[in-house]
Amino acid sequence: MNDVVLHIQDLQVAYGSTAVLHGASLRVSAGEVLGLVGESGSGKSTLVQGALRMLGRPAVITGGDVILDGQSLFDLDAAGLRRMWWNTVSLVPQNALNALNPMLTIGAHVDDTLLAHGITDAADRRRRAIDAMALVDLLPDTLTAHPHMLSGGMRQRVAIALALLLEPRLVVFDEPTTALDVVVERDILDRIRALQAERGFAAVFITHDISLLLTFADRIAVLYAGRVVEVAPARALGGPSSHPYTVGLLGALPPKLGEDRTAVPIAGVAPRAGQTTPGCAFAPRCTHASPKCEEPQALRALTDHHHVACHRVAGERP
Amino acid sequence: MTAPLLRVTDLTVQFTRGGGFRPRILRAAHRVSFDLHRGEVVALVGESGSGKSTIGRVVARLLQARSGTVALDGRELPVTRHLRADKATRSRVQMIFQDPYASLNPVHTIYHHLARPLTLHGHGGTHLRSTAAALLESAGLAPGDAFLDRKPHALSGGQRQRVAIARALAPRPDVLVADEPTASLDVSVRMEVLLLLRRLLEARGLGVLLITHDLAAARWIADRIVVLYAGQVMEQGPAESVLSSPQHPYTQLLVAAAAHTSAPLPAGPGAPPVIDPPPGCPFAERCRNATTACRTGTIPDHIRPTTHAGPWVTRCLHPGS
Repeated sequence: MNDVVLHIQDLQVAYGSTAVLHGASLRVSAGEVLGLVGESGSGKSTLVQGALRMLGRPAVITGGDVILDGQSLFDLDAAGLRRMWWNTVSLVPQNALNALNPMLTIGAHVDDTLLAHGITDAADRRRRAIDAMALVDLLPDTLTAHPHMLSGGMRQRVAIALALLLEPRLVVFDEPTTALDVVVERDILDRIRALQAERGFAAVFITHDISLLLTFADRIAVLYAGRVVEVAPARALGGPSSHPYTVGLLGALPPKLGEDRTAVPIAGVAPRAGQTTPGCAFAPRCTHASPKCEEPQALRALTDHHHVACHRVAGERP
Repeated sequence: MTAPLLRVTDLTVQFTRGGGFRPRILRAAHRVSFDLHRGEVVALVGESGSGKSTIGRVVARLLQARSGTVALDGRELPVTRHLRADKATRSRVQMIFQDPYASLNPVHTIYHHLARPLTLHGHGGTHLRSTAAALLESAGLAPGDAFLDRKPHALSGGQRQRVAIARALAPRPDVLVADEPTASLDVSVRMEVLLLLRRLLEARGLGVLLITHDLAAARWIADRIVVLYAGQVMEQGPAESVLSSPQHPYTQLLVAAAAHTSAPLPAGPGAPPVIDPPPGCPFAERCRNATTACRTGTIPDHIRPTTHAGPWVTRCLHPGS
């Protein structure tokens, strides 16, 4: 697990003069799924898209560095970025229908991508296109279909096939199952895991559904108001040494079958973008808040793999 | 025994697709029956294409049914007749939509959103502003007065959904049809909105028809649950019983998929057969227990009495297997 594919170091992003991401650091290794969870406006998409230089104006990177596959992304020029996108890192979007061109067949999408990345032999492209469909259990006929002819689950499988076309080292899944039914969602998640076992790519899985990540992800990073407040192995999340926000988020879920507890919503509302405090942004909603929360809360290590930004939990480590 | 607040009987809704020599029939709901009592939440659950929203929209008189009846306190609504401004029904059945970003008009104030239904349904009067403020407070936005002059963009998603709920309460309805009211909200506020619905229903003696795909939320908030597939009721009964020991293979599949475990599912994904529907059980093609009888015959309802919250009905030849 030491083969680090993506290393985000203290990344800061602002939209115009409004800072939205206040220094986030993450590491993702080959063969693992890092779950990234947060509510709307927490900065989860900004973090990943900013790190991969996919954000346009008015977004500006105001600090930090990102190393992908040994290379700093902030040193790359436009041509270098184009080569890196899709070859080294690819994205599976939330709604494949919006990401696919309604006028083009699935085959044309695959062909375009391969051509743009230097596969000039038409027979080779054809063969690769059929292989890509087979990878996600779609028939070669799918290549002649237009996006609207496919079901939501099939479109998402096409999006995954496209993302894996050039065998990237890192695949970012931005809420790929949010618009899908539970049974289809399970099918997509099972496929991602199987493909990862086969190909060994690193995966970042962005979602607002923490319960999904508990079984699907290896490690989970929790974002709140533009800061990473906790990074932990999935099984360690929500325990006594978890961040109060993570505990609140888990407690706000309706109880699972056979689970005996009541759901307790988190009181108050999340701060708006640009409402920054030097201290913990969650303090106004936190039941454990104390004056010490007004001081900056850095991510501190509880164990090698468990980091929490809360003095109460991670304060007095010997 | 008094009539239930809402009784849906044999409701069938279908659409015709395409013309020419052979128009195709899309059957969105087929012979759906269930009751909703005062002070009760009934959840309609199922995947996309199961017909759950269709049924909600017929009850709210936003869609015309082909056959069947919907009765409010024993009096039938004209659901098979052409839709027109049916104010009498609207004042008794109100709808809450999924996306409060889309269901509120961005150019109008919150006051406008509440004053209109109040005036239209004859609850205007001279104290319009204080009535509107009181509605907001009953939906958990206090002090109500402070929200009246704001516009939707100044509110969070959860607050907007509360405005939508306050607006639905304005005509003093008996039934609220809530179509995925929490699907577009953050996890931490979803429960608040569901709790609010529960509180309102107890305080005002409403019945809530909750349309959702979230089984955990349905189990938590609903008294009864109606599981739909391809427009047909597969199973219905007390929410806790149905979800903790589902009898129908389709309910079993939904429960297994929602559990987020790594155990393999009893069936794969598939599209419900709503266009030119086959005879027999619509789930048969995906069901591992299906026999020839499932694909051809009429499937009987298997009825089990329960001690509370009505009977537990499973439409399956092999329930519980």
